[in-house]
Amino acid sequence: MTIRPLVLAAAIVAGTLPGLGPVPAFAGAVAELHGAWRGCLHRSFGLQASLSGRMPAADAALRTCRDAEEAYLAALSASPLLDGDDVARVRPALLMRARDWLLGRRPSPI
Amino acid sequence: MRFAISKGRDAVSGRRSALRKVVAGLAVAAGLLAAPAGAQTFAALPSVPSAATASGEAKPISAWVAFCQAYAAECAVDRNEPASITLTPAIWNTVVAVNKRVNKAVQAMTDMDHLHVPDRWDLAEDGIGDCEDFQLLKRHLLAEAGLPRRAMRMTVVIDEKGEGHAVLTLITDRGDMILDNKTNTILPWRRTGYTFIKRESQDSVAWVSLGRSLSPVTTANR
Repeated sequence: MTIRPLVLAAAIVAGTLPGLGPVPAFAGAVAELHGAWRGCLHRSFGLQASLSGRMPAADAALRTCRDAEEAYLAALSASPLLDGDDVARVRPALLMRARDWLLGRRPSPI
Repeated sequence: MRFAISKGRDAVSGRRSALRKVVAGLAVAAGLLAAPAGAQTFAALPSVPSAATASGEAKPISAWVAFCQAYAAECAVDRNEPASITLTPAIWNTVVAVNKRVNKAVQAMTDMDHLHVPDRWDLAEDGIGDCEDFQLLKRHLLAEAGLPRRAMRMTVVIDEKGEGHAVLTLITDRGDMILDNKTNTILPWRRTGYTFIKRESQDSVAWVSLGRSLSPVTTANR
């Protein structure tokens, strides 16, 4: 069964998958959604950088990939070690790191 | 079925084997404290300490609450203890030895695969555990070796895969040092590459937020 990231995140937040009963935010699912967000950022930035310059492209990529970001953060909020308050508090820092990663200022978005 | 060291249930006494191995190994290590424990020497520690800053209360993790009910002594905060560890070559070698030995002795497995629950904190009594169990066992052993538990705080970070991860922070006069089951290298917190989220309070049985504290350098793809 293939589950799209947003569907997977929604199922995690709801605590269920069809036919599978309650589902916690497994570490693998969080990593997969993080990878999907990272991939979206990378693709979007690559497309826009040559047209608009690197800084506007980084900001545009963050806007374009908002759904993937929300799916990742929702899964992270539902994972055992973090809650919604933790994620809300750290979100600005994560976005800043992602932007710096796109601009080549750091090797990883985390 | 699992058991707590403090509970002493003997129905599963064979599961203490991993802990016994670690303790036996530490006894050997204690006899070697004059020698460097691997390449991480005391002299190489940062001379300018860097410490994460707590910025307010954070919600405790439910599995930690359950752990503290079952293992109250592991969570107790004694405000008479020093809030910081003054590192000496002997103490540093003990820390390095415990970190390496626990990382080697405990088999890493998620709680879901191991116990069929999303999250459970314990001391890896059966030799199997996930990230927090490694760190709880390290703290248990280091406290037995005489280090102040108050200066050893369980800490939640976001790791290089974007996942929540538990590490152990040693608050020292050389800065906050991070013990991790992903590496035998004990790193200053700023060099881990992790995003720091929260850690146990040094003043009460509670958690404090580490705000937007960032560690700016990613050192390895672990």
